Amino acid sequence: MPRISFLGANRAAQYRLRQAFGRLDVVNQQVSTGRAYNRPSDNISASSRAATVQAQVDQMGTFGRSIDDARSHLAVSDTKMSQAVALYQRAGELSTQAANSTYGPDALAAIKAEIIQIRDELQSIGNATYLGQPVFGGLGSANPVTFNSGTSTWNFSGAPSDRLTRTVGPADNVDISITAGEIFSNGTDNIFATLDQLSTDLTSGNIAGIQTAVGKITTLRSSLTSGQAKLGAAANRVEEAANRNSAMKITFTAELSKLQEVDLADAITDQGRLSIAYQSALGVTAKAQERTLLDWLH
Amino acid sequence: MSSSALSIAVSALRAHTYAIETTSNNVANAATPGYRRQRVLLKAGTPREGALGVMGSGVVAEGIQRSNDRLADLRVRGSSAQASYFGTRAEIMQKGEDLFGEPDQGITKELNSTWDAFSAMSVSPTDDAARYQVLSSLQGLTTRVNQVRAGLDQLDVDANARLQGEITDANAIAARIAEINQFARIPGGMPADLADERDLALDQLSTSIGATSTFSDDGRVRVTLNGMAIVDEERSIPLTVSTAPPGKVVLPGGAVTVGGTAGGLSTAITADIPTARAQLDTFVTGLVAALNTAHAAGFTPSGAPGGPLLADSGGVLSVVATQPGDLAASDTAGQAQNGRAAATLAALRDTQGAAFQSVVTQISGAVAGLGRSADTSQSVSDAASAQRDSAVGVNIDEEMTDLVSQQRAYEAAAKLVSVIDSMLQTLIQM
Repeated sequence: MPRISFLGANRAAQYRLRQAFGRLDVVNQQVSTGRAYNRPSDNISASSRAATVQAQVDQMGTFGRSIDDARSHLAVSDTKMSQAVALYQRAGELSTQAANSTYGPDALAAIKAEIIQIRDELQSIGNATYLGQPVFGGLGSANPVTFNSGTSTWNFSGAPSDRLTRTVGPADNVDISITAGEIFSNGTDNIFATLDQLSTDLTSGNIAGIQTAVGKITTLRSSLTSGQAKLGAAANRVEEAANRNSAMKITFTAELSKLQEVDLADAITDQGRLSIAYQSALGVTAKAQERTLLDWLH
Repeated sequence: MSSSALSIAVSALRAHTYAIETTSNNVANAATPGYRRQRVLLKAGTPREGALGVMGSGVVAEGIQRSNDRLADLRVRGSSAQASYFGTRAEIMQKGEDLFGEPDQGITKELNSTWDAFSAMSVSPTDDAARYQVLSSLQGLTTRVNQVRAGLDQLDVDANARLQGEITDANAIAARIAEINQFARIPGGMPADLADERDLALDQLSTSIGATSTFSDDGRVRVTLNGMAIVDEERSIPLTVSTAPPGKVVLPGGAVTVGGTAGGLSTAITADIPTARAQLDTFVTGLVAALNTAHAAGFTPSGAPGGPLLADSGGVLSVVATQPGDLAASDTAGQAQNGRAAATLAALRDTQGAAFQSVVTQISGAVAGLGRSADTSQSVSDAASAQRDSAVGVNIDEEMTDLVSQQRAYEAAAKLVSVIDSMLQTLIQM
């Protein structure tokens, strides 16, 4: 049995109190911050994993913003294309009526006026914008549908490869645009030149020409509807990505909170236990230290 | 007869007075750091030839013995040098880790907001607000990186100043030990209080610089550092801190490896801080190269190829691009709605995020390792101190027991005097 010296006993008591207080302090910190660790070295593997997961959660946020933008973009395109389909329908009906050759010149002039109006409306649909930028213009910001009065031709800007792309998930890029050239033209004809020709034929009463126009409008309509179908498919992919994204975000956020946050019920129970332990250590030390042989010698 | 009996009684009174004084000195110093319990060595007086043969001549207090345990001293000094070495390194590196501010207020957060900004710019490349957001997040990133670097530099400066102070103190302590060595050979041996002071100084020197000591036969102590003497007989050899390369401690004979607190500071200056700094710098170099390369592949709204985004020179990271129009979002010249180059920049998140995380993991790994070493060596050192205390310290209960027996011995000797006195009285009255 070793001797116990006055200083040694003092130091040992201080050491034990320090230890008890240190343990209490860790739990106090956990309870007050709600975090399982406050610096990476407290728990290297958890903090490293948490940083990776946090980066994923942040990335989910950027995917979410891309998804929202893609949705709005696709909705604008779809509305505009549906309006265009209705106008094609109307142009087809009008030209079919005119081809019946029972109308007089006044009626044909009225039909012509409506055809010109339809053409202008289609042009404004082709130049429609979302947030100030053309939706059917590929990657550029110039008006996609323009009429060159010098050559009397209709021009479309943007190559078919110029698609707006949104990253909606990890390595998941969705094309969300289609160019005016693809929906209003089929390579040989385009709707604007066809309607121009139709209005000339209406003026001159060229029934054969009007009948040709009826056929062309029907053919061109399929380009428009197939474009709409493409964007519809893109919209489906975006919705799928949105569902996946929110499901993943919940998973990652849950993991993050499990890694970073302290289990409050456990921590508070520990706090109570350690606080009692510390108080008892204080009391016992005070009691043990106040007695020496001096108290019994008279 | 009675005169020799009286002188025996007086010798007992004198010896026990010494013993009581020593006990009272022990009690007085029960809480004095470095004090070691003292005992009066009692010895029977030299016998004298008497009529009946050889007779005792009382008791003499031969001297004061100071309790000592050289082995315990060795253990305490060795372990406290280790504890202060690791404790100092752990403390400095923990400050370094705090400078990084991970996980909430650090570079990771700034990096993430930069990738978010690039991603926003890729979605709306025509929106100036998105471009300003990129510029401001790059600014935030560079500011944070520069702050961490400046903090590490300051840590280095502080450690150098502390090392200088530590060595100055150690030199003063070594000089005092050399001075105390002069008293080793005085007749009657070194006074106990000086021995206490010397042993405390040796303790401090091993905590401070990790010095070791050996005692020569004449009682003088020789203090060495890696075999090179810093206290030799009655002179001390001062240590200095070198400025180039910084953080080294030198003796006139050349550089020495110091331990203890000074060793921890020296290792922090020469290895720990530069390593952390180099890891951060390597990451920054990689980040700047990756960002600038990806940006150079893009085109600004005016159709020009993207210039450098960031520059890192002279240890200062700065944003080169200043205007929204300097940012290249498009991968084809002249396409206003093209955000593909910005998307490529935003996609650097994974590789650069992982690269920075590895910097954090390396630094916090070093901190955790040093912290564990510090805790372990501290508890070894505490145990060694406790052992030595138990060997050489004062126990008040013991002193009280001693006091009781000394008091009784004194009282008995006093009683002897009174008995002899009454015997003489009887004789005189006859």
